[in-house]
Amino acid sequence: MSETIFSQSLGAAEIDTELREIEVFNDLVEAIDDIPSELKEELRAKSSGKFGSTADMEGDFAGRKTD
Amino acid sequence: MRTSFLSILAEYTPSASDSTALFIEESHDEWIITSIDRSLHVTLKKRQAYPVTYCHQVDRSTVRLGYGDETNDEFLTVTLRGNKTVSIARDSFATLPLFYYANKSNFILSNEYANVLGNIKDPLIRESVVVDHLIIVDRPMPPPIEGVEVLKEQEELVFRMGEGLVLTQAPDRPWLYSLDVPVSDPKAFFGRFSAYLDYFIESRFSGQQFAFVVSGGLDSATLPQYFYRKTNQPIITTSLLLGPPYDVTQRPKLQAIVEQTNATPIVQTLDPRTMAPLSGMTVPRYGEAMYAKAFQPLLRRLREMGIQVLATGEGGDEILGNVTDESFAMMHGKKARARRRDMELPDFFTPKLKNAYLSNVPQTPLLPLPHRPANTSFGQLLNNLYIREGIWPVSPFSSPGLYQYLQSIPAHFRANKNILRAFHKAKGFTELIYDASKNEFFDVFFQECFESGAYDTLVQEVLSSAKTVALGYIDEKEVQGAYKRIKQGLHTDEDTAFRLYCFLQLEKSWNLAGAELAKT
Repeated sequence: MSETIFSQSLGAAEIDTELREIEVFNDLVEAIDDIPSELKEELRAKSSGKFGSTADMEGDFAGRKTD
Repeated sequence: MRTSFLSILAEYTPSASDSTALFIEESHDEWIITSIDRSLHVTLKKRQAYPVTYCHQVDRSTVRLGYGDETNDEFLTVTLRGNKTVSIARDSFATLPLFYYANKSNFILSNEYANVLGNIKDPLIRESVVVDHLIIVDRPMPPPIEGVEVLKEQEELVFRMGEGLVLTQAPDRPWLYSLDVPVSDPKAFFGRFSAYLDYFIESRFSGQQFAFVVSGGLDSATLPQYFYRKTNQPIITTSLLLGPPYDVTQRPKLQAIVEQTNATPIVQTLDPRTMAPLSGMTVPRYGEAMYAKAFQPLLRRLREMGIQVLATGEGGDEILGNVTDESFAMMHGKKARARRRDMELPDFFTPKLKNAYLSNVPQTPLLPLPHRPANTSFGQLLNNLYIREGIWPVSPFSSPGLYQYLQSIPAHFRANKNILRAFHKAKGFTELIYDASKNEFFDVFFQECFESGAYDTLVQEVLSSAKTVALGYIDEKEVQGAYKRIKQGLHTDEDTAFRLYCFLQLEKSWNLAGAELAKT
């Protein structure tokens, strides 16, 4: 397989924008992670969930809508 | 035989040999490869855009053809040796459908199902899979004609005239459940996914005329917005527009993408009266795409505009999934039996069919572990819509490498596609899509087709000679009743309409193929 998906290439001109975007992204990741560990475990163990199904897409995206 | 992309017709002759000379005849749009005795006839369309096709003589009796980079297993390669041996290494991204049929002396392969069926003498209905086709089991099924198969991703096939066919399945993917993949830091997703999209754009779009299918959903909105941010080049988008009530929410989303990306939108409104699936079907199809009739005019228009590569969001729903159990496609034994027993099935399925469904439970998993979610890979392997117009579909989410990588991200980041939504927000993509308050359901179009009366004639035509009624699997009166209720909107579950559709499709398809039930 020649797919090269694991190397990052940043263009010099876009570096400031990209750094700002990464900062926003990292804050969002922390917000998504800020849920009770029981809920994380429940999701981890959930069987064959198609988590991305349309039924799950409605509502607040920040990760708390996981019921 | 005429083909929209690739066909191979090989018939055994006693003098077949690996050293028989092969000849390549070249026209402006295709290559034709033949042996001197005409027992081998291969056609491949020329394609200058991604993935570029090739055909060359290795020596006087060996010809190699395929598409893309010949040395890269991402692409398909076919090797012909004299009028005796055909070897095919199926690509790992397997987008093009490839159906085949073989016995000891004949090998037929084509991306068009009808081409394969048209070259089988006296096609027979494969009774062993009729039940699966009516119920739509939890695994990809072989086509319902005896001996016809689909060549799947990473499979290798060797046909030797006079000896028959040897098929090597793809190796299993290296992980079984999501938890088998070592956990990775979700914060790394931003950089890795960006790098992947950069690679995808470079490898698929560089030097090409391309467009983007956008539905208003998250997945298909990812690449066009990323591309525009990266390049500032205006783009072309194409969409199917739902009727009421979903057009109210879909329109603003499509408009938002158009504004974000400075796009030229090509839109087709879905009309259930003229675009119902199966309507106007004149040749047998297997797995016809649900929106084929609606998509055809769009694709024709894109072709006229010179578009050769079309990006979709296919596979987005599945790739973020969490695999903690056997997938339905792999299910077998007691677990599969229990699942089947608990399924609600419509009244037009007779007790004989329901019992056969239970006793048909496979005892072993038939497939190797797929490298992409089974829905994604098999869905693509049945769709010729694009290639008939000379357009190659590509999706960043239909990637074995990305599938494995995403499984390494903890489940709560994949739930609700949170990690992808975070990516959209961080990139400043349109909020209307990454934080949608309402989603559209394209299935509503299917229900509308039934309610519009689009199947009035077809239901009666099919019932007048239905082989599954003759087999005792389908109750004719119950079909009439169910159809009436669906038309009146009294069946609120989508399953009944879909199962009725599967019945119509199966019967229509083998009637067009002239296939018969075996006499024994």
